[in-house]
Amino acid sequence: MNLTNLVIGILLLIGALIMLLSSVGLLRFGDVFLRMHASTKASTLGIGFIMVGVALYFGDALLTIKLIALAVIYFFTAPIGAQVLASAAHIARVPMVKETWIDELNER
Amino acid sequence: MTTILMLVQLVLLLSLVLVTVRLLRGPSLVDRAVASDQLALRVVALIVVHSMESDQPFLIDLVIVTAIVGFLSLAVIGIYIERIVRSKKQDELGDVL
Repeated sequence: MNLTNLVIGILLLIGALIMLLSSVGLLRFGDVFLRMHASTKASTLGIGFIMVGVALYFGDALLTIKLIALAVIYFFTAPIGAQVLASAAHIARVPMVKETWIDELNER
Repeated sequence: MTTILMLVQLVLLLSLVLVTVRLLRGPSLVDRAVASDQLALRVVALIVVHSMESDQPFLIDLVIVTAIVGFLSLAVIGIYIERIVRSKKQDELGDVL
């Protein structure tokens, strides 16, 4: 096992573990908004790590451009989708956890 | 290298199972939409790792299509819920909200 393979393996493992953490958050948190907070950001970071690892493995210019395009797609669309869904959930009055002490969108 | 790849796939599979539990259990429609988007993202990660394992780089093209379709479905579900609630026709959705 040479050094490149070791780096690739570590990157893939970090990405997969971050994804596992985010899905534990998706399962355990008590509220739609908290679940979105846990899942959206962390899994985007995890898939970024996995893309970097795979791009290092193939080492091909065209494939690296494709993987960068994929990462850019995720880094741009995940916040937009989460924003749309969170505003839909707030309009539909999905219940929040009882520890919620501020709701700025509701005061306007 | 094979061992690490197997470990990575195992961890991704475990997180897939956790997301599926939330997808089946989620109290509201928005929970299920978030969980299905996360499911698509983990499937994308599994396909990317598999394309590296079996040395088939053309699978990456397939993954780009999956990413775009997943985002569009998420946005459409959000806009649908918002429009239904604004037009006071919540009976159409039943008690899923």
